[in-house]
Amino acid sequence: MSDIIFNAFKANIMNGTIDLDTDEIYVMLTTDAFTATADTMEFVCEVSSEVTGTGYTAGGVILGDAAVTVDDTDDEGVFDATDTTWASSTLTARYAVIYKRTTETATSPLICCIDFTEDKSSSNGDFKIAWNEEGILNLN
Amino acid sequence: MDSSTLNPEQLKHRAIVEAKRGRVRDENGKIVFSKEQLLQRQTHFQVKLETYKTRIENIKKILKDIEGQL
Repeated sequence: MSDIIFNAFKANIMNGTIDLDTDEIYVMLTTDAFTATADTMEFVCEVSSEVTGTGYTAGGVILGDAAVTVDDTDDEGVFDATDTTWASSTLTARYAVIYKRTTETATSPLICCIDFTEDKSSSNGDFKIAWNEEGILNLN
Repeated sequence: MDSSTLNPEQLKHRAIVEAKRGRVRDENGKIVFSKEQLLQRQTHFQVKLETYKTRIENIKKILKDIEGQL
């Protein structure tokens, strides 16, 4: 499975349901047992195989310094944030799921799923997602 | 044992690419906004406050219109 942008997100970004630089945007981790489906998944409650481990709390963490910018070099809009770290953790993850957090998982809309291409593990250390230079998401 | 989704070479490459686009991170990967970028963000969010006020008014009108059709 490669990176996926959920179809519902494409509509949600157009109708203002999701506002990337003012909503609470979270990132959660899943194991390789999770399969993201762009055209049927809509909310966090549909995400399975979330990681469990020392230093990890269910639901993940909020993205810090989330910002939307314009990249005139590549003619695109870019959504980016500070790298995300689970410090002093012991865990193994394959995917990062980005979503907008609301009061309930059943109403927290999914945004995208990022494939690390292989399992990444920390052992009593930092588990860090260093976001791509193209940003977490870009629209071109 | 630490783990990062980008290796040191990839992190170096990212710093070069992001610098060209005016994006800077500290050694922990935290985005560092320049004063100019902070001022732009300040303006952006001030405008957004007004935008949301307008949207709320527009939503009220749409709901009223729907109610009129029900």
